[in-house]
Amino acid sequence: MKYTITFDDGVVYTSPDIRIYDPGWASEEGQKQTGIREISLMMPGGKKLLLKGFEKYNFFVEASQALGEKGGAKIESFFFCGAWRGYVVLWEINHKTRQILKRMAVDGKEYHGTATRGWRMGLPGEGAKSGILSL
Amino acid sequence: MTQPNTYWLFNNTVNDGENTGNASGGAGGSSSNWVVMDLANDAMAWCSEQQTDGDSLSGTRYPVVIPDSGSNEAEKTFVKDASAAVFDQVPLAGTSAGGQSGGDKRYVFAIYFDGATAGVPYLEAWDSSAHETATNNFLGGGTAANSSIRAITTTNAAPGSATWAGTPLAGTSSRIELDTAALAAAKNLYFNIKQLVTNGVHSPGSSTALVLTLRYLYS
Repeated sequence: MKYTITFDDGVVYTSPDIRIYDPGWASEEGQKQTGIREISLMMPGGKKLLLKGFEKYNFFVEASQALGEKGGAKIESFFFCGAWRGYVVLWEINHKTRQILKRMAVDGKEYHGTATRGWRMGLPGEGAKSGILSL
Repeated sequence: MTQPNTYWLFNNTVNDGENTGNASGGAGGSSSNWVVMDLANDAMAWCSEQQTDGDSLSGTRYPVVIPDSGSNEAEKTFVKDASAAVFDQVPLAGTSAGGQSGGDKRYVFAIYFDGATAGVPYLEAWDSSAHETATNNFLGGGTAANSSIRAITTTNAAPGSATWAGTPLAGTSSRIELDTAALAAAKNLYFNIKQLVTNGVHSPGSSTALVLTLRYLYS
């Protein structure tokens, strides 16, 4: 499972498999030079999650570590977020069930009523769109 | 921010001092002593006053008594140290209603993050490490407010009361935030925890499958 970022200057970044490796959201080349035009994630079954036109974007992995659990921390979900005009659209992909949830929240209260870190610049002024496309 | 490593520790002294040893624990502030928990093999145990610090894990286990009426806070809190095969007491755990040195104490349990997070970390309780249900009798039997496991965040301040109530832990519907914001850098997060059993709510028996779970974000 890899996500792809297309920056405004045409640079395209594809992450490593985010189920296994450091997702690299904080270290992608070009992140501070230009805004993000769109983010996409190829999904099983010939579908693609697409977010574009947002003022800013975030991505994060939800992990858990249980006392008494062998094998260390495990991934619970992946979150792809876009913010526009004070609201955040969150797409949550459950790692175990593959269930996909779409939610909306007020900017700054997007994760169970709390803020998240790691937001990156989009392209202000464009109309925000997100959805699952069939290829 | 890559995925941070997390370390769970407990203070096995009556001295309320911070964990200055971070991931390694050891001697801390105010003559406290921090022990790193083995997440795969250690476990927490709430016991009656008959249990003694250093008791062998292969010896008698003295459970908390459910009272004839009302509620009873576990008198003593231990970590079952698998490597030493003993009950290691956490004397500052719980409130002044317990039978040890609990109360308005801040530095009791710690979770050390060796890097930043993308969101606020949470502490939760579940039926098992599958994190699918939180309906065990000791977690309230489906009513989160009745969970016997109650915790309070002390990362930024002591509870403010020697008889702090805490938040009942049961799944994601009732849990505690371990800090007020995402972590910008490595940090120790602190909490205190107790078991409060109530007549008519909690049933005699035991559950060794319950888990405390840390939930956090990284990117």
